Amino acid sequence: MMSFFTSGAFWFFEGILACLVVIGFKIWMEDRKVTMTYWKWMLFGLWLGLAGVTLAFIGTNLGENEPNAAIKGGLMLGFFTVMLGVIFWRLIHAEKGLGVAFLPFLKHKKASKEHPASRLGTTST
Amino acid sequence: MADKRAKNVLNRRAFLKTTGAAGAVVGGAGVSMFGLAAGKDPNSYTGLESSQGSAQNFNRERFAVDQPHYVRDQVSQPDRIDARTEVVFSRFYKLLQIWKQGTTTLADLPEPMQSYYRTHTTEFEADLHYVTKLYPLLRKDHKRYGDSLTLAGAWSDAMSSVWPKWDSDPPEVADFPKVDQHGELQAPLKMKHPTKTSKLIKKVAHQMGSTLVGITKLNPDWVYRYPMKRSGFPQNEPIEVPAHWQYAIVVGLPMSWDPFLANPNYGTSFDAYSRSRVLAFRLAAFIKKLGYAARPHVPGTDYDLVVPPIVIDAGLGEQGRHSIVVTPELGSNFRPAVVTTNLPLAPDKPIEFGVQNFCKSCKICAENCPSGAISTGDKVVSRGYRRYQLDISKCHNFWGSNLGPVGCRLCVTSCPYSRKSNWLHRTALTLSSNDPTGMVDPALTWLQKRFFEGPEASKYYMPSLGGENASYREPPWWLVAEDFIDFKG
Repeated sequence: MMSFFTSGAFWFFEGILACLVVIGFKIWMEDRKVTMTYWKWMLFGLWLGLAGVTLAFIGTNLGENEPNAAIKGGLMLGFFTVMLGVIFWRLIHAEKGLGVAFLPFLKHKKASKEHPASRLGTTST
Repeated sequence: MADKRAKNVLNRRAFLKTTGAAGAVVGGAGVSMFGLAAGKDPNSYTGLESSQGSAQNFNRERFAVDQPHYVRDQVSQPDRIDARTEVVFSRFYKLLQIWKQGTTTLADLPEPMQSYYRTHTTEFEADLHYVTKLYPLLRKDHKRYGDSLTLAGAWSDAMSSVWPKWDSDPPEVADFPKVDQHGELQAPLKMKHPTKTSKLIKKVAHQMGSTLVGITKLNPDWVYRYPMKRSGFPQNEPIEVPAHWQYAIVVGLPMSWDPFLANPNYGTSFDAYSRSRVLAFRLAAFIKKLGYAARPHVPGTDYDLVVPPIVIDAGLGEQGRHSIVVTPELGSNFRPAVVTTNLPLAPDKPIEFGVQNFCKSCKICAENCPSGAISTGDKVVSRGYRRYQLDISKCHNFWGSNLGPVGCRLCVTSCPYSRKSNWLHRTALTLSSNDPTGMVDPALTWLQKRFFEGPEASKYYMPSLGGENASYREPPWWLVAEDFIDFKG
């Protein structure tokens, strides 16, 4: 049974699950009116990887009979995962004005999306 | 109709979102299970899983260098070792034997021991302390507390029980092919090319069970000045390095990982040495059948070479702070043997994969060493080289007063490189060996010290010396004697 989890079939199965997660996240973000750009997807992928490493770290150390490492490492990596999750979440929602005003390039990008006509004080039809 | 379609679209989106969330949960659980399986996986018990050479899987070419790392630290011509006295295994057991017969003064000791001890008073005091104080205490504690180590002792005895017959003729005779059962003597066969021969020898050594195999030209500096007891050389004459000792083939494998993690009480060095001994004898026999000279050198007693620098020359690893060679695949958990031969071979290049830098800041072996034999300081000049100097007397006095099978091996066990082969430890190795900034090593050491700590060094001592007879980790279930033997019955 355990050998399944170190087999190629397991990673094939994990790949299918990852696709479902990406599709679900995309729809969720669409519903929240968040446009997912390439760098947002990178942040999402990075976070997903970190979360995976955290879980795998805990599991591996438990498997090696190193509960101390599993607990301490799990807490440390878990803390980073949560912190980065919060930061990434705010970055991903930056266009909705949920924060990160300190990142001027995002503001600039937002301005560039406006219709040029808005600079004339007129509204587009 | 339009509303109904909108509702359906919404349902589809909700379904996909729910599926995604469920996928995240199941995927996360799967990754956790992967980790658990990777930690438990018998295939991560590196070095014992295959005879096909698959465990020698570190990309050495990328880390190959022209000269071994110790050459940078050479300050003078090295002194060759007098194995009769300077090797602790030679002098110590002789001293113990003599003392048991009632000898009480230095003047009563035979030469060359007497001369050695007169000029090495610290070693004499340490050896004497063991013989007169520690040994009796060990016997006493063994009677009181030794039951729980019965199976560990049995395992060690079993692993040390196979000793191939040693040819006591001088090397000029013993190392060469002998007349076979048909009365014929095999002349050296014409080999096509040293590179092809090296490939053949490596394959054969792996097939015989060697985890790692490396080849080097033998540096005569690493041959003892005077021989070990069983070698076939005249005992009190300096060794003249035989002309046919041209190449050295290093073979070897790790100690079994579970007992090894429960050092110093449950592991045994014989576990790996007995196997490397057998395969060195087999490899020597294979080479002799090709008509060439070959001689197995097998620690801990039957060898005439300083093995660690030869292991380094053969490109298998680097020397660590604890004086033991650290290999990329097995860390310090590698018990080598050497076959010297005149079979023309293509030598491997030494490697440097970051151990020198790592050991500078790590010091975990020194902190875990109960005897304080491993220095936390810088390298010092010894025998012509600047290197980390192990205090052999301190080391030996601890592992000779340990209740488990003879030896300690805690430095090997606690070394951060001595880990099983799974994604976690291989990633750490890759990061460490490829880091140009030098920032990864201190970070890994910091994590190692906090995550994988063992008992305090003082707890490893036997009870009579104020310790708790602790082990680095819990023993494997099959060495817990109380679960199988009724000691009260």
